[in-house]
Amino acid sequence: MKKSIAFLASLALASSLFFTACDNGEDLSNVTLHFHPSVGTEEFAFNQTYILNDTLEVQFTLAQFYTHGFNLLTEGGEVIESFPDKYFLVKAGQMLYPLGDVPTGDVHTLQFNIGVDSITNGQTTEAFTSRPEGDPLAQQSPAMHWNWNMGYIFVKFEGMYDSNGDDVPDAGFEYHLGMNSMLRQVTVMPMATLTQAEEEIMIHMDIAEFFKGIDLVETPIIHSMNGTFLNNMQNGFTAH
Amino acid sequence: MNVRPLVLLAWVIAGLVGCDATETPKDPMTTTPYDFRLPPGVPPPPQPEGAAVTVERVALGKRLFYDPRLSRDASISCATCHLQEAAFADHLPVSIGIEGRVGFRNSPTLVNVGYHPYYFKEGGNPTLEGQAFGPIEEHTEMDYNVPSIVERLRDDLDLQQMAQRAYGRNLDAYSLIFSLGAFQRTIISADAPYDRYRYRGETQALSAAEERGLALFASERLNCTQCHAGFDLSTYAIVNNGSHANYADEGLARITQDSTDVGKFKVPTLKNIALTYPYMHDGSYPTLLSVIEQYNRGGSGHRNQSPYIRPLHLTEQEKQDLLAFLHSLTDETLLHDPRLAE
Repeated sequence: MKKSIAFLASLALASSLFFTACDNGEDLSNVTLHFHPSVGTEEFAFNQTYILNDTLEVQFTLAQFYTHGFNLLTEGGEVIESFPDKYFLVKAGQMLYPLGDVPTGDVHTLQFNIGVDSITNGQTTEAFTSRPEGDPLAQQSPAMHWNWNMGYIFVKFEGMYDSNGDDVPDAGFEYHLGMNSMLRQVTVMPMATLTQAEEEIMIHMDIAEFFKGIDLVETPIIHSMNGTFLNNMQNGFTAH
Repeated sequence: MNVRPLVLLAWVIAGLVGCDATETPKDPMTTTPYDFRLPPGVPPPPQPEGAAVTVERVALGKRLFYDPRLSRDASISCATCHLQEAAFADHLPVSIGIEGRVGFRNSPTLVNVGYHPYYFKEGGNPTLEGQAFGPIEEHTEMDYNVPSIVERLRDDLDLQQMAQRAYGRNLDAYSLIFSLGAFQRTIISADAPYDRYRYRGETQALSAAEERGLALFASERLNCTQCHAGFDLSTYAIVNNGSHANYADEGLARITQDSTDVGKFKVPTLKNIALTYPYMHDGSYPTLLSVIEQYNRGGSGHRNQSPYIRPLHLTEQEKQDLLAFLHSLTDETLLHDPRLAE
């Protein structure tokens, strides 16, 4: 019985290979998003010293955040393609994220959210623990979910900062930010023309901009919310 | 070269072979209902929908509760900070984690923890299962993570078989977290002298001093029952009890970012309270008498203090009677219950 079921399943799978490979007549580009981090004008690297807000030496040991809900729009604001349920855990050390098939042509605007939508953010413990390995919303290491609170940590930046003015990062900072009110939508304008079967859309993210006006010396540890930081992130992405 | 026909051929062959070389015999899942042995006056503990507490799940959860491999360096287990002889708390002001790392909160008792409507001292997590991530991941506690634990225990065939019997699956995040919850839901205290007096009509269960203390405790004059009521002697409300003049630990304000929530913490149970010293969220009150004295003073006067906390004007005799009553909440059965022991 078992072998019969396996055989029929294999035939079904083989059949699907033929049908899904068929072209439906629309030219598509398989789009990858390239999240490229920098700190001001400098390329990003972990454990490298940067100066934030013109005054403070810092190093980063962790820099990652959730994104989801991608919309590609024409110049007139019409939706070309949407990926409402696509989630990425963007990590500064990993730049490429496969988005999916998009009709070829001009893409003027790209929208995405920083964080996790409120419904997913309120999922049950059963749903959370049942997510398969490889799901960006499954448990991560380092953890990207609260435990003393519900939901996901939307944004996690950690590192060292100069606490005593000797220009040497010597004390730890941790910015773990989340909760529903921290969700932000980002809009960038790639103004790209998709022509090839494989295309990449570049998104620059300036981590220095994320920390604009943030006083790490005054508040090195936040494990909840900071609207200023998320607002900064909203403005910290460009497509050129 | 068109590889499509080759792919098709490969799948057909795979189907004919019925290839499943990795399958190994598994124990069937069994669901033996767990007998909580609830005495009169104790409601059944809530159980997660679709994750009923069974004998098999409790067994797995207990095994994991006592397993130090849930910590990064395999040095501490849940039981390290939740000792049965201490009514599943410990006797440190704040917990000590791996490598001697010092935490920032007093270890709470797990007695009757299955009845809580939310978890952690500010009540931020709604489920007992979700709470388990906290000590596992906390840097100053076990400093580890569930995926790594699952990987570490992958070759423990005994545990894998227990997980199969309990959940019909190998040990994974779900079965690990939910079995810990299942075991903790069985940690029920309801056999203290007070319980026998209050719910089973055993009028001789309390001494004269304990009875006087109970009368004081239940009086409108003291207002204890505004927060410490019900079979678990807690309403689980999140309040500021005036334990501190200044709160380094913000409590509920950590979630709400509201200054009016500073110093608000979940009301703990008083069951086995004589064993779960020291007291308060930071363990800064070493004895029950020090707690009574603080309440007698009317608390610290913090701006967010509950209005129920006011000077009590207790006599020395009344303090001793109150103390006697609190000692009558000690459940020796729980402390020696082999079903909860390692």
